Amino acid sequence: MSGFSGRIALLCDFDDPAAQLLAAELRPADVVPVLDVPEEGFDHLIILSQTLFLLHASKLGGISAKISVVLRRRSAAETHLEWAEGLEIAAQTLVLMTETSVALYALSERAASHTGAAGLAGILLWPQQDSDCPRIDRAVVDVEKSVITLDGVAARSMKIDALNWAALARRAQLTISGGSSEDMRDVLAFSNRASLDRGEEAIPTYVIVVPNGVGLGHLTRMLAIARGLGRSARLIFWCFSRAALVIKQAGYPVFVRQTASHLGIDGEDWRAWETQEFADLLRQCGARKVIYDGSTIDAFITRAIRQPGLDQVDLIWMRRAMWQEGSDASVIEGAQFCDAIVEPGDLAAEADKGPTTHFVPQHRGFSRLVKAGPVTLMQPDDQRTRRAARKHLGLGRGFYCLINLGADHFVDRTILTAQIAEIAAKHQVQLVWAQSPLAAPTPELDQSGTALRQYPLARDYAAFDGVVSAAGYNSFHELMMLYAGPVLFAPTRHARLDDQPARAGYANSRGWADVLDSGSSAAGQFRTLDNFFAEVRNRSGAHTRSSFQSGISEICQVISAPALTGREDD
Amino acid sequence: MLNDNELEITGQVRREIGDLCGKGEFLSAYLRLKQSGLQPDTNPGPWEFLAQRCEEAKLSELAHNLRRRLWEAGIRTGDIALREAERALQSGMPEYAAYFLGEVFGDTPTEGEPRILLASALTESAPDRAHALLRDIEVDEADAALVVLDRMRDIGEFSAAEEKFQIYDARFPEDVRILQRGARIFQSQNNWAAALSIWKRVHEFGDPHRVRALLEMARIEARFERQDRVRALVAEYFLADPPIHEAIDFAFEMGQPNFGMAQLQDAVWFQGKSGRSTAQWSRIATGLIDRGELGIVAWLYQQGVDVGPQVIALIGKAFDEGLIKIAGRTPLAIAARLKGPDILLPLEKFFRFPPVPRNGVRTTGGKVLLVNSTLSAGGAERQLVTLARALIAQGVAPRDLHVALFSCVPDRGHAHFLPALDALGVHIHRIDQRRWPFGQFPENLKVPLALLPTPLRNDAAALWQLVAELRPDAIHGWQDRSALAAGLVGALQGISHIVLSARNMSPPKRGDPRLNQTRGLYLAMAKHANVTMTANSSNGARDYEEWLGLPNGAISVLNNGLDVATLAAPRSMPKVHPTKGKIRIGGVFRFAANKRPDLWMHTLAGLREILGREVQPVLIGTGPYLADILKLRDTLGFDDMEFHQALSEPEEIYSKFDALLLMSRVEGTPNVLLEAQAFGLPVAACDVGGVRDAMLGSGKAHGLLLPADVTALSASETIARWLPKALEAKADARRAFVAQQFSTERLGKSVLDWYGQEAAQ
Repeated sequence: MSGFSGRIALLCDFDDPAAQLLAAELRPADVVPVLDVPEEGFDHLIILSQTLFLLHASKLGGISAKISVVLRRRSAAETHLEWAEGLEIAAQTLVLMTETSVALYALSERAASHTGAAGLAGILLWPQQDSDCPRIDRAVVDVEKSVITLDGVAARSMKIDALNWAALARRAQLTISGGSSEDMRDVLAFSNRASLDRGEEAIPTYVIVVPNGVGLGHLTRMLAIARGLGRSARLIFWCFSRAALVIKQAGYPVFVRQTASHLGIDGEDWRAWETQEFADLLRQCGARKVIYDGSTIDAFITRAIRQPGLDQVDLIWMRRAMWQEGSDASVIEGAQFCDAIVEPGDLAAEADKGPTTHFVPQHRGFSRLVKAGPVTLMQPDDQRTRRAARKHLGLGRGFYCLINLGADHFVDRTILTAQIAEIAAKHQVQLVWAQSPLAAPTPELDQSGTALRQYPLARDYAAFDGVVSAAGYNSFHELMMLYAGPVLFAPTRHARLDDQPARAGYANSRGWADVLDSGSSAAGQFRTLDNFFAEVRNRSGAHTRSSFQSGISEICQVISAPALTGREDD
Repeated sequence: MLNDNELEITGQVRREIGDLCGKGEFLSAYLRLKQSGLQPDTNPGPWEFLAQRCEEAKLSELAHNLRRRLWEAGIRTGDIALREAERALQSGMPEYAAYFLGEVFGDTPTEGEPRILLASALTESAPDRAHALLRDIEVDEADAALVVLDRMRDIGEFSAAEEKFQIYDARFPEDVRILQRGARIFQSQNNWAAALSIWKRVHEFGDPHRVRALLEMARIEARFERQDRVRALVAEYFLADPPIHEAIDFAFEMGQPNFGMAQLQDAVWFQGKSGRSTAQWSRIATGLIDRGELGIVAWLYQQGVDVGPQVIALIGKAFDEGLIKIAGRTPLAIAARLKGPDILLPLEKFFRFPPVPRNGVRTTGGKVLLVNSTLSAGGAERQLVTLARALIAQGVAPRDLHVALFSCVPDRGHAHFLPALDALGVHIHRIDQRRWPFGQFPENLKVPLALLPTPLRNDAAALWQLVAELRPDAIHGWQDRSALAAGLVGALQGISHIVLSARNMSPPKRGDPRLNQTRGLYLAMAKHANVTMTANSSNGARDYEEWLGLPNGAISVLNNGLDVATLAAPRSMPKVHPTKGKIRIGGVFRFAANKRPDLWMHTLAGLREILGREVQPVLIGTGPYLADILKLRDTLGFDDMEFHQALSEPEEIYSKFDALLLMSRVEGTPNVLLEAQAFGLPVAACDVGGVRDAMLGSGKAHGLLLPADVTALSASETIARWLPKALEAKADARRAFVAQQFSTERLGKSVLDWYGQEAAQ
């Protein structure tokens, strides 16, 4: 926009749609939203309302930046009298500030005319020229219900504050239904006239958010996607997992974060802090996409993306299916914040009774759901041969079984591990106990066998004559697609986890693996283990399981697509 | 007489005590003195010495203990009496202060300090004595002058305080505190022009006094609706970076709540929760509670701001824990929707009301308590006196008629109708002179009442004890503010009959945000079976019904009363010619913005043009727009315009002109219209408030109702068409209209009926 270049401080309420729109409109200038008057470091200071101008007027005298104030018409929260008097007081304040030059702007011709009635002269219109930027969709803003509906399709709707308004306005021509404040009408007029240039970069930056999962599932899937993206983008990890070191070892920059629970602080305080930290990162690295793997999109992500100047950041939600039946489906409403939702395939999808299979969110906004093939970090070519793997692991001759029971946060495995050790010994099978990079030294090490602290494990599966494993997404798919030996699943049952018993049960029904049913009797479990180790001893040869499939390429295409906003046929 | 040995010991102990005090070890010094065996009655020296040192070191409790020992031992020096009196006053025990001073200095101390302290001690219990002590006092120091001024203000002697201020102002011209007191004294006397000029002098002292002066000047200018000046002052005020608690409060006061909230949010989030002390946050929160902004306070608390234990306790009672969390999680603007007193509704549940008394039991006697703010020189106050008179005429014994007034200070202009009311022989209760009765509340009501916004909270607190003592059969609140307090207290104390008399314009129409906030409370009370709500015109009743969402007729009309018989017999009307010669058009109103004096003057100028005859304006009244009117008089060439500022007798007033014109933007039921018609005069007025009800609407003598937003040109054209016929018409119809519709007999009977009482035969 003419007249504005260099570094611009936007003094605003970060949730103000006008601020979000203006920050985009001022691109390519470097726009930073601020909550207070910065003393230095900026060429311009734009104050987004006369109320904020009044609030900070006493500090404007000594600053070097050129000052502009956007005069607003009445908002829904104000009475006409309050607005009119506030404007008059602002006008008087300008009169008193004889030493300070302030340029005045308005968001629409009507706003310029109405605010000018307070005796303010020389109000400029913003934007000064109408844009020819085409909008694909049409969106109706219902202020009273706080909902925006796209193309009249109820499901393609979102809460009024779900998205950054510049991102919204870039995609849709906005109209108002029902009553609204004068200011909201100005915001819409502005949004429909603004060019809101997004700009493109040769090598975009993506920020990958890894939540603090129980195991390594989220982290592993994200590493798999990162690997798939290769050098097409600069990748930065924002990681709450305790296994962040794994990401660093994989060669990616990683910001290690703490959850409110880690810090033992109030959730909202943490969220406010995290929002700002995350927004600062997105702004500094010029991020174009945020890729998040998890079931619930935390508000710190969406709030950060809504900040002025971050409208060019798309949100991709990697959402694994196979949730437990009866899980809280409301979190699926997070769809409205996203540009795309990517569901990595699950070989056991037929057994999935969770809400992702049937729950239709009330609001899904612009998002589209892409179901891809399974995602595993390891590919067939990554696997070591049996000999190389045994050498790598330092295993000698004999029978070896990998025990990978997953996280021990939720269930007491003491009896199970004792049983395994006892029966393996009976069959003269040596045990290798997998230790998660997250885990403290486990009691299993006191039993028998060897501890293996390696990530990823799957590269050396060929070293083993059998595997006893939990049925988390990654272990399950790596074992079912990359491993030929006998597998015994010991699924973990817990409300916070995916439906491991269903997944394991499906594999069992297909003859791909045995299942250790924690609900069965001790004798039944003993029998299952006894049979399994007998099979390990027999080296009974390759099992016929699913052929290797990978959705990584498809997912990477979705992520890398320059425009994620194409219409989805309903 | 001490012997040598005792003298030596005394000297040694004194030295040791001195050394210990020098090292700051006062407690050790005290213990040393106690262990020394030296008794205060026989060796008072070391005790007095240590008491003085402790006082200097601001160890007031220790100093007090030492002085108490001396006093009990019979050592009663002036210094001990003065220090103990000071302490007693600071502790809110003026009677103790009076005792100490009286013991040493007698009833009329001659020296300045004990005299001032004694006057301070007597301020509440014996204001006349306090005034007598202060009246002739000479002071040498500004600090003492301040105390004198403050005590005189406390006892309501504002004229005397003004005289003192003039003296002290000349003697201590550089002391801004004296000036500030002076400005307050003038404000208390409604002498706004003088107050404004003093605040302008305070402004010259620079910050922080400038900030205070700006705030006060803006408030004064706002009274007179001089909006341009208000805005300029407000702008300068906020540019001056005022203290945050004042700035937030002032933003709300100036009708800028969103700006107030923006300041609060900025203070919380940007400047940091820990950037201010608990006392500062508590002050902000208390100010917000006073305004009924309970949701904002809950939000503040939930943000982790340390608002202090008292505020936390109050908020905890107002909201359940879940609601506090919700308030804290929502944006501030949404949390702000939770307001008092609405959050205290339904009243029955929150306050655990006693059962509503059965209505319908009629008696022929019983105590009645009328409640009003003041007896200022206003129409509503005059009507209160008329009502009392009307009730007595209907048989209510003066001994059973009580009138409670929140303030009746003559120097503040609050006692204008006091002689008239006093003459009726009724009981008059000045509840501003009663000790602060908050402690009298039942324990379970203290917190709910503390959550009420001010001034309702203070009004209810002030009224509580009186109602408890009197146990009236009927309580009648007069005008909105008193009606709310009387209604609430009456309901809480189970009074049988409650009458709430609003005037004739609802709070939103009046643009009164604080009263507007009481809609829920009004509505809750209006729905009670033993509560009657009234307004003093049909327009007013409909306006309140609309505001409260009540059905038509839910609010009764209580017409003003005018005792035509008490007015001097109407003189025979001067035979002013309907179309020729000079005609005198009168206006009787306060020269304030809402009376639109400029419109009145321009209308008369237009009328002069159209009628082609001499039109003489006659204005009776006074007010802040006098200078503007005089200027306009010269501009418009009304050389023979008459002004009368001291007329009070109706006959005198209504003999000065031939027709009455009112051009007010805001009106109640204007008594001047009734009185002018009672004297047979033609009347014209804008159709606002209760004007329509107060005007003869048909027949040849009918009044002229002008549109509320009429222009001067249009008004003058309409008046010119109406006036000749109105002057020709017989005056009797006007007199009869007033006598029938606004008789005091009718007023008395209606009200007595609402009290559940029969008129005495």
